[in-house]
Amino acid sequence: MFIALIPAKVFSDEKQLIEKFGSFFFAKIAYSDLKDLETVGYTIGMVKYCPTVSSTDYGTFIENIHNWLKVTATVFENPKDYEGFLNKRYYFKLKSIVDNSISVGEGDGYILRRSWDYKNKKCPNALSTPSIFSGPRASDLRRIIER
Amino acid sequence: MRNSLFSLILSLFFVAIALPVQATANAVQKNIELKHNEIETDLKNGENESAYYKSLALHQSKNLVGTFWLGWMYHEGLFVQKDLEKAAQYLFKAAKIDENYIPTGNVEAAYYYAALFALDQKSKYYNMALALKFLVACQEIGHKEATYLLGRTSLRLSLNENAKDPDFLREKAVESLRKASALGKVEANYFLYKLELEEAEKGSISSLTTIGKLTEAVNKKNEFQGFAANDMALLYKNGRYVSRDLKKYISLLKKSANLGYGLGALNLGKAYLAGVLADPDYEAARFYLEFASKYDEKLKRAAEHSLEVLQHQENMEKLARSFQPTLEQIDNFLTAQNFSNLRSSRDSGASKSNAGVLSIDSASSYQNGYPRIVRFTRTGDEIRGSDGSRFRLRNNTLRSSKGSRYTINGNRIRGSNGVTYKIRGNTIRGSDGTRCRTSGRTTRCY
Repeated sequence: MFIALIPAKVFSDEKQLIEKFGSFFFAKIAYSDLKDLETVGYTIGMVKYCPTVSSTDYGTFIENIHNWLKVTATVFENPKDYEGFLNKRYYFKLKSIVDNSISVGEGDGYILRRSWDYKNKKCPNALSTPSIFSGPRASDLRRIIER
Repeated sequence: MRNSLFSLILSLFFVAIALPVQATANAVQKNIELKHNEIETDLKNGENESAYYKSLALHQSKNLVGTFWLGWMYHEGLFVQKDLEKAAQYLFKAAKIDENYIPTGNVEAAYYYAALFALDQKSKYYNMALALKFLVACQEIGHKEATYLLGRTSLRLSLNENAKDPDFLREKAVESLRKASALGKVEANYFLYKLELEEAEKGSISSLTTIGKLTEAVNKKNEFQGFAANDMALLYKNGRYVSRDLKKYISLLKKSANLGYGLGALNLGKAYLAGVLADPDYEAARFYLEFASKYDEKLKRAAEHSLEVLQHQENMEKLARSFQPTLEQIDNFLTAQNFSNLRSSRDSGASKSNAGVLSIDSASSYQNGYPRIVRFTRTGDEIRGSDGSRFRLRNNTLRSSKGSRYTINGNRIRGSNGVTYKIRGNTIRGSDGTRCRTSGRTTRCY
């Protein structure tokens, strides 16, 4: 199975989507396909051994994707409500899918970490897609109630 | 001295006259109440015939209690055939108006005439001015229901676009509702709360003094108990005017929904869908949302929208629950080889098969000190070697047809024969000294 490091197409215009509909709507569209979610996790795992990525950066990437999942799993009682409730059951399921793909990506990244192709092609390519590595807005995260 | 003596005698005279008159009036009033209660008891017990004849007898003796009950029985169709014309006439007669159209007769008759006929726009006896006069007269006597009805009517009139002085009407409404509340009409409490909340929303007041009244409306059985429970729940949810409490929010919504109030059911369904206290409960949410959609046309659209959201959310969760990871360690081992420029199906032009070159069994194929090139092709879980060897992949284990097993863990491969292999870039090193290197389309082991 060949897994491309290019993320799903929904991420290409994510900034416009967020501006237009807000992070919550964007997240629900972006992560509606679980295979895309796996791809994102795998890509994040893969960049662990990139020369320009420090361990702190990597930790931030993982935190960001977990935050995106929180946003995805948040349900609002009414559309105009400021606060929404986190569906933990759904969140942990999504998190397990992502964490699994991250660990697979990490394993593959470890194997490839010294190859020229990885350092000079795959890493820059993956890191040039900021959507995966930047988290949701802090103001949106404050709207989530975790019971 | 003489003057004071005269005044004392005069006052004693008035007292002497007034006492028997008062006593007589009290006796008459008591008698009227007795008769009234007697007929009411008969009607409650289903003895309509007895009640009718008692009322008729009283009516014929010009007692207004009898006239009132006759009017009531014609309105309800008790023992006699239902006749609204006669009912209105009897009630109006029992109310006994003076030259200023102020009722001076039976209070109950005045109240029911106003409530059933004068305030009913469909009735030919509709007369708002007369109804208000009747209700005001009843309110002055301290009639609880009439006071409450006057409050509600004034409130309704104040909300009318054509109202001349809505503020005055609103003031009067609040006054009447307060009086009704003091007389023990619980429904009035709910309206007082709503009016105060409206003021607070406008910003004219900062705190609510009617929370206690709302609580009373929630706890005591009344017409608006479901409404009050729903409103109280929203106060607890938003944490405005009371401290936020989501447990109370849910329990009050349950109360409202169980009392059969549609909006309460809709809110409870949404709360279950959002998972306010625990993770979403789709069954419960569906139950209450379906109830809300059947309850009212106005709620139908909102409830149906929520049901669609529920369906989508439930499907998404089901998908996530049944999702089988497509990324497996063994697949990624092959992928890794693709990445590291080892030979792959992409290079050879085969698009559908998942092919790659494995050098795992090369060591066993190493014979007579000559390097031997073996090409492995993967189709599904099966790997075929060009030397005739076969392998099957299961999770991270590779089983060969010869019986040996290879467990892949990260970049390490452990064979059942005790030999371990380490992958580094495009090189595989075996613990038995085997070295395999992939270059271009060939893998050489030596």
